[in-house]
Amino acid sequence: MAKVVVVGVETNISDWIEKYIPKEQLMLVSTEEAFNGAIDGQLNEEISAVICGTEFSEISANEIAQSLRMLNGSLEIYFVSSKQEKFDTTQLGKDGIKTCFLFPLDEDRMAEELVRIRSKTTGERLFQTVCFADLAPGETLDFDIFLYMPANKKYLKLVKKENSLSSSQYQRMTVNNRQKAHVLLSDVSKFYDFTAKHLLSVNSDSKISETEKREQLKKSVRVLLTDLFSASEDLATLSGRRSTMANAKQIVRKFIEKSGQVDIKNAINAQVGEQNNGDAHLTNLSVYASLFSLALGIGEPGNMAIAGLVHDLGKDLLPTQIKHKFPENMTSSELLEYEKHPHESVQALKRLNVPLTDDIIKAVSQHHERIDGSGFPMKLSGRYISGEGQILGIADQFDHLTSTVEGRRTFSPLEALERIEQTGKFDGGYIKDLKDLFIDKEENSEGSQDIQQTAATHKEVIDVESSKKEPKAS
Amino acid sequence: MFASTTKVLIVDDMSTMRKLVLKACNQLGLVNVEQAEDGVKAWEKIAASPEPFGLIISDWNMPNCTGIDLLKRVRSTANTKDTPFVLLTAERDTAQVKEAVEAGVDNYIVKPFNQETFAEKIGTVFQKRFGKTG
Repeated sequence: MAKVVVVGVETNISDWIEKYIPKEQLMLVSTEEAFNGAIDGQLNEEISAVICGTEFSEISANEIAQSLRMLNGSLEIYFVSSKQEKFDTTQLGKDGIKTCFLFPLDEDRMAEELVRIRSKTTGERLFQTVCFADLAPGETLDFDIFLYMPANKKYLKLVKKENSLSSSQYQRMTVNNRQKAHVLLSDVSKFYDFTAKHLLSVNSDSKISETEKREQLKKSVRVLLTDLFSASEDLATLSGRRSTMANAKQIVRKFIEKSGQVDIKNAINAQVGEQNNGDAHLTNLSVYASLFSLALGIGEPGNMAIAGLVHDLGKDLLPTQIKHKFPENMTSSELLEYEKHPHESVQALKRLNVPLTDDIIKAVSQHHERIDGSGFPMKLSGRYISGEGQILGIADQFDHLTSTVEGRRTFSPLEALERIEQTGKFDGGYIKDLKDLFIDKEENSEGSQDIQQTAATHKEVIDVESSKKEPKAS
Repeated sequence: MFASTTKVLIVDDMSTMRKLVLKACNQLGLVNVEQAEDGVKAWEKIAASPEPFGLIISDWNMPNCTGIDLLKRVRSTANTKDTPFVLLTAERDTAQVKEAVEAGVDNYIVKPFNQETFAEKIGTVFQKRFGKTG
């Protein structure tokens, strides 16, 4: 079996790579001596890809790439590092690096690439579970849709790409009023694109009434959020939940692309890098703020996603002793400094010299304001706090209450929203609308009988071993 | 082709690349090979060598003194100006090629290259200089 060679890569990153590429497929070259030996021996193994890093003091990634390409000019060579200062993508590209990843910022992109490499090397066809937020019979998709048959561990191609979805096929996909299916890993990006495009086009459709629009979008967001917090077996584990969050993240990323805010995101990434994007809270908040915005029609989803990512930029400027303290433990002078951070976050954004939209500025500057005037930094109250500020503030509290933290109870989405409602610090109308997104789940069993019947009427069945299901998402 | 006794100088700041070019030279029968890690150290070797180098193979991008600067120095010095000189580069830039030709390079090899390409390029240099094949 062809190997993936990992040369001079930081230990934490190469440990992470092992989640995607099985050990027997990996060749770790972790010392310069070993690399020189490999060059001398001309690397006798068949190699499918090389991942190189910056851990060798005497041999740069440029040199690794150049010398390996001398042995095999068609090698796919990737570069990964967590050190921004060593990230000269132009020169790396000239020296033969196909793609560069800054870790953990580019973790998702790199994970997709690793799965592609693994799939190409082993010939496995890998799938990902997806939940369609808004699908109807008659739609045509540009990717195949599969159902999984647990009884005989096979994937059944239900709908071929570019074919119209029939009513019966639609019914086969419907479980608990949601359309769930599997897509090939190589098609996942098309699924995210389809979902984001669909949701945004409904959001901007002037031909339907506002009420109808809200109802349709609430239904779609309900599907996405319910999937995220589902108690079903495959999602109850942390890896299952992470996988669905990864799906939601990618859909929200498409919102950002389609809203034209990529420049802000890139500017933020360049400035803050791993601090900003390695934080799960910021990512969760980006997803919740964006989906809440879509469901309630407040702000623009792509902009609210950005606001979620950047709302605490100002905290990075706080002195270290304050930065890592909970507000309840701060002295009064420390609290005064801390309460400036929403304003400082906006100032930090303005220094990026990218066009900022009103909804981003409002959301970031007001996410700690409360309708009873008890918030900060401006002690605004009631209607003076924008919807964007409230949505981001609610999303912030929501994530804290629903996240798993050692030593503290994790609340369900409804419980979290009820607790937030009880504080009286946010508009009750918004909370009611958000609670609506989590009510009305119907507990039906999976239609495995239907799937078996479907298998009898469809010829194309892909036989996959049960151990080769979707890889764990990070 | 160059005689096996030809004195060759390989210049590259990357040790693994020097190793690979050395191997390529050895496969052509060129065994009298020295190495330098940049243009400055290369010139020190050239100046100090009791017998002249018969072939210089140099990388373009190096710290302290690039391959093109080394070439220009070699071509402007009386007792080295006719030394066959080959440049190696990772880039395929026409402006760069023009600069190298104007500076008097004998040939230009783009990395990565295989043994076949290396043999062909070095053979061409020999033929151009000495009017003989093989």
